[in-house]
Amino acid sequence: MASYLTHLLIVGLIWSLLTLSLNLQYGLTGLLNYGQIWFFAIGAYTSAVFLRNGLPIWLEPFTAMAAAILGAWLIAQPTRRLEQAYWALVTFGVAEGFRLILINERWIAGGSIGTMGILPIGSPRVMAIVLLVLVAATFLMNERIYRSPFGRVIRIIREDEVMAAALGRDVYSFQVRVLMLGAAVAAVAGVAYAHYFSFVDPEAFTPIETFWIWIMVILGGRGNNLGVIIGAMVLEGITESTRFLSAWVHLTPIFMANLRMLIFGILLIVIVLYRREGIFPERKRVYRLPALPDVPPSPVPAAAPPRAAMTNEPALADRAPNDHPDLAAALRIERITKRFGGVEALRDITMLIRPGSGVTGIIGPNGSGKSTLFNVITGIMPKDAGAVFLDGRMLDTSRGDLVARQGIVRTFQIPKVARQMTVVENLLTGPMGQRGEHLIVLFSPIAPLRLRRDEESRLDGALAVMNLLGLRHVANEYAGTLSGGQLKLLSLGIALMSDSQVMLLDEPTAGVNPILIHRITRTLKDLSAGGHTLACIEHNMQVIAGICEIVYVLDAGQVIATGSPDAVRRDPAVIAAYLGSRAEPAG
Amino acid sequence: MNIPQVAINTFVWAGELGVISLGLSLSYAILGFFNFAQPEFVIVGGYLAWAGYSLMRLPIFVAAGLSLAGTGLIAVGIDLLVFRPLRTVSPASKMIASVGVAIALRMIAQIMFGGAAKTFGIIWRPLHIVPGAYLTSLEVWIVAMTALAMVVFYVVLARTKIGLALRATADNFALAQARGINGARIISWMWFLSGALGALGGILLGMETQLRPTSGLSVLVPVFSAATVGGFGSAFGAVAGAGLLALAQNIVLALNFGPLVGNPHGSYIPTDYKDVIALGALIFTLLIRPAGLFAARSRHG
Repeated sequence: MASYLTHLLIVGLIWSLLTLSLNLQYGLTGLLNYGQIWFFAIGAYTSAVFLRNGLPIWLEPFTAMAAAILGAWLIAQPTRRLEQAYWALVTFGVAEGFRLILINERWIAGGSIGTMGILPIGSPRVMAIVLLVLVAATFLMNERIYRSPFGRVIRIIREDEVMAAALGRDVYSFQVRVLMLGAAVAAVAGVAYAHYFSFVDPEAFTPIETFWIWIMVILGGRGNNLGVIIGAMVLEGITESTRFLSAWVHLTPIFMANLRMLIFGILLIVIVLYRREGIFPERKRVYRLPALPDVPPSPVPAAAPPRAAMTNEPALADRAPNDHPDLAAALRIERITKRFGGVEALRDITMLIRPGSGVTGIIGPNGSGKSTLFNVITGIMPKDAGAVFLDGRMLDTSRGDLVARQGIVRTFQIPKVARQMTVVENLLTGPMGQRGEHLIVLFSPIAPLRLRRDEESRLDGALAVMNLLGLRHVANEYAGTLSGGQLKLLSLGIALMSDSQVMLLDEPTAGVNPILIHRITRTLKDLSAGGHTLACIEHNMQVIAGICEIVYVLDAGQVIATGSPDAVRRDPAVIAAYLGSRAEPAG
Repeated sequence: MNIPQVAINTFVWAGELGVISLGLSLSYAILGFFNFAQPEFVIVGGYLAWAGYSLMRLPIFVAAGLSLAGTGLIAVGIDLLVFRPLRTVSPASKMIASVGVAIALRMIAQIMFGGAAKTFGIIWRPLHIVPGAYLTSLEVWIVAMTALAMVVFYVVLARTKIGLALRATADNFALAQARGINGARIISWMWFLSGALGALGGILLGMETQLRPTSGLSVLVPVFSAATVGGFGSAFGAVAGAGLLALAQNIVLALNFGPLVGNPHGSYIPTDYKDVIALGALIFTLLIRPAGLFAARSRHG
């Protein structure tokens, strides 16, 4: 009995490694890896090939990991910047293709017959201990990633790749790294599998095994590292223990296996239908923040720009623009044209958005191309003609993350925030180039102190931004629970946190209460005075009049007027655009 | 290379593949996710027809007709139970649910009909109309039936109200609904059509070879590959992609690598590698033109 329990434990732990690996890929990053079993197979077959060629056992795990990492890199090539679903297709296909090769090429490891006689690593007890250590190490690794800046970025990618790109993150590079890391873990599990069962054949690596891991992860709770271990243990335990049941209920083992799989298939559907977060949902990370003041903040605060709190430098507002030539940068847009099929959404748009002279306003009736202009400038959409210059340099607008890293951050009309992350977590993703986004730094022994210091200064900045935007009391709430106006504020906050030279804001005050609008406009003015380059799409003419020195009016994809807010308001062309060209003044 | 034989094999396989990937592409166009359960309609249709013919002794055409309708209705039922409640969730979640549906269908088939292969046991006469090639009347039937199905599908799409509604919905779901198209009913029609198309492929595949619970799974890679090569979401693309893929597979398998590797008896790539060739085509397409070789314009940016 004891040995049977050890067996259950070993099998459960092997599957736990696989679920932890998939949790990193799917649970945290949203990566649809339908070929997980392939990486497992790479590990197991490394052992088989080593046995056949008399290579040293101790090299196996390293070779397996290297092979799986290489495999992950290769598998990721065709899906470069494609829609998520293609990851599923390619990983599934490659796993199946690889299995066909293993079946047919006898020289690799015996073809469909497989390879027998792989030596066990010590007694089952030793095996169990080794696996326990491996699972614990992987668990800790996943937890470390989950809590790191790297983890925040991949959780944004899970929800919205465009948002991650607009914040300057190269989505694909994060996905590939996660795939490779998970592959390495699965390969180690494969080596353990081969040495425990001492036998590998292609039948153990069918697509159904991949989906078996998926069921465990989804049932356990995607994003919850403990949950997916429990999922693996429980489901594998049920499978192993019902093997004996067939004798009592007079059913064949094959029938039992099919029935089990049928139930698990239905279970998968039921979970997706009724409890997508799984039995143990992802845990919320609560940040300990200084206690809230007892008195509510005064309605008209002394709005210091949040930047001062984040760095040890003097506040931007205190400096003349000339002190910082790198901030004194104008955004020049030259003859941008964008077509959708036959429709010209933007035609020959030329604009100059200057720093330090008030916010540049962009107004125009609905459908005039304002948001499209932002999309084109920031590389979310490809442009058909024209160029964007920042500080005299032409920008590479081929990709959103490149534009953001060149110093342009933006917000969206429908705010992009990660709803399954708290307000603080969302804000903390604002600053680009965080050291903790590099896996090597994350796991280097000397980094933790430095990383903590970085994080503390970012947290100070987030606090200042939350105080400014009135989000302090919802700091540890999931963004998904916020109201429309709060989402708008949060997305503005993320942009503020990025401290970019240029900020393009798409209706920052829509749906926001008047007191906060006042604070926002003051902040924007301060930022502008401090040398930042700001442009703002806005419908609220009061806001425009308050913060803008110059306004561009768009209609039907063209600039129809430019000038001070007062001047454009009186411009007949603008009135015609808003009221319709044939509308007569109603007296 | 026996060119007539390659041509025959290509047409037969392209027909079977074409109808199944047509169903897949249709559901992608309307619902926007990769339906991993689509290839399982192959076994639903195959086993229904087999049961009608072998167990209930119905004439084969009646059994096949009932199977098409039955599979279509089962597909509609699956939509009502599983996918309708999931209409607003992410494509990834729908795809995961479709995997659950696929597993469940396969296991139901396995439990009801067992794991052993089933054959229709109809003897098809070899025809001697193409010199040097093996051709039976079944293969003529397969090409004729799949071609007919494609033509019927085209007529439905191009000439009927349902087809118009389907195309409008595929183009812009929200707009089509706003213009008074009953989205729920159109989606039911879509499931019916993709189920029936999958079933047709399954019946023909089952007659040509044999029927196993894993028959659906085993066409998954080529079906998805055909749809990708042609361009996901396009009906013409699905058929053209199936044709191109079938041609590529049959040519590669018929190539004699003997002279290249110095084997006087001839060296061929094993037929088991058919799927690897399909996978290669899939990856090649994604690398050079992810929207598909026959896509007029990219649907996704």
